[in-house]
Amino acid sequence: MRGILGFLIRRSGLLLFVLLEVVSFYLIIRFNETQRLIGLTSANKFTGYLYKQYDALTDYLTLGRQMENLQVENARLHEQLLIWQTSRDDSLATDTPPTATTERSDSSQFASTLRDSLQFIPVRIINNSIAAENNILTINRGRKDGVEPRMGMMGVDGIIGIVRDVSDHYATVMSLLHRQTRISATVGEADFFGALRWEDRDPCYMWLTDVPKHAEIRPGDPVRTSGHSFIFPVGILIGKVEKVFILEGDNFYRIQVALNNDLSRQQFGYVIRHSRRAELSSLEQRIAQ
Amino acid sequence: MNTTIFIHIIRFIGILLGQVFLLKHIDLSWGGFNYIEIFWYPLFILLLPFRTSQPVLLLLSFVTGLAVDSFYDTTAMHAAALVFTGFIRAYVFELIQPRGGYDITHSPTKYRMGMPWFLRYTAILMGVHLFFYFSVEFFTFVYIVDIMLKTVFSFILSMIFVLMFMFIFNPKD
Repeated sequence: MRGILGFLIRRSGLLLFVLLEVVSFYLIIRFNETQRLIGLTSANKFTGYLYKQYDALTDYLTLGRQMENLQVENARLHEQLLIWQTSRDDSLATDTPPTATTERSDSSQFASTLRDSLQFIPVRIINNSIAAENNILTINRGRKDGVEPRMGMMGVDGIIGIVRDVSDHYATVMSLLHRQTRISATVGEADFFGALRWEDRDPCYMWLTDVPKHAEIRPGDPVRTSGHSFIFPVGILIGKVEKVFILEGDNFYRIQVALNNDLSRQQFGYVIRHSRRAELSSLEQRIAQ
Repeated sequence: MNTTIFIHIIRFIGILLGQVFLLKHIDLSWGGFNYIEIFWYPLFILLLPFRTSQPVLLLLSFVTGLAVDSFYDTTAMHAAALVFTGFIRAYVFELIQPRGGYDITHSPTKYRMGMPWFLRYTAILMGVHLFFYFSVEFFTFVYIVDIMLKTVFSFILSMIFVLMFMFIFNPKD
């Protein structure tokens, strides 16, 4: 205390100087129009600068939330895209001759109701592996968000895997790169379908088997989901045909498929929820019995 | 002692009246060129005795400045500049201290300190004062060229009037 007082007394000249200057400048800005305006604008510039910096900081801090918002937005767009594609198929269907129309539109109506009943749940991959024999991912959504076992999960440019176990807030996903993965996929113009599986431990390639020998398959043909399993909707691009083999005495192709998406770099995805899942699976169970 | 204070009061009034009724009306602008303003009022602060304590000096500077401001309609601008000038006066004394030091009973006048010292002393403080004042007047260094031009031209004219004052009255203290 004494030190502070002593300091104040020793520095009284400086303090008085500062005080008088502050008073002067207050009066200057208060009573002189030019200085007031300049003062105001520079204050605005200063606060503007501060606001900008603050914005940049909060932008950075809220990046996660913004990303989630974008993801939700993307999920909605994906849904709408599917609906749009379906309606376009419908309008194409009306061009077919009248006799076939009823049947065709029935089937496409069925397809469109299926697609309308799809829901995309945006998820974030919080754990991923590609190097193991059987690769499992973990995602940050669980039962409370509507994720259930045996739902498909897709990324931005392809499919990622199938949900296996679900807790309240998390779920594990069996990656495409898993020995037990079987994805029903179509290949080529005529939509021949087969089972897609992961055999050699290369994260870029999978094998499509069970495609009959009489199908015309060329390297570069797109491989898409068939929609047969109701896990994935119809027509999502999985990859392209890389090489085609036929083993001697075999009636089926062995097709090497180059995956469209790089599974080592996935961060976000969508779990595809089918609102009529329960109905479909109970039906399937009845057939199985 | 009382006479000294009396002398300074008289000087204060004289310098102030000269400033606002004489110098203020000398119009040296022609065309668009109005870079000249003549100020000699800092002379009052410059001529206060060496022993004047800093708080007193600062308060007197503030009051003198406000008095000038009240005539120039420049609220507190001269006050701000003059308070700064008063504040650095002590440092200028240190800077240009003669070999024998100062006799604190004296005042920093031409009579006591001699012409060369007095010229340096007033030149430094008048220059600083004018630069500070015109900076405050423009209030932004965007116009630094104008500030410098005004400072230089006003400095020359103001110094002439300051020296005229010293030659005419040649005060001891």
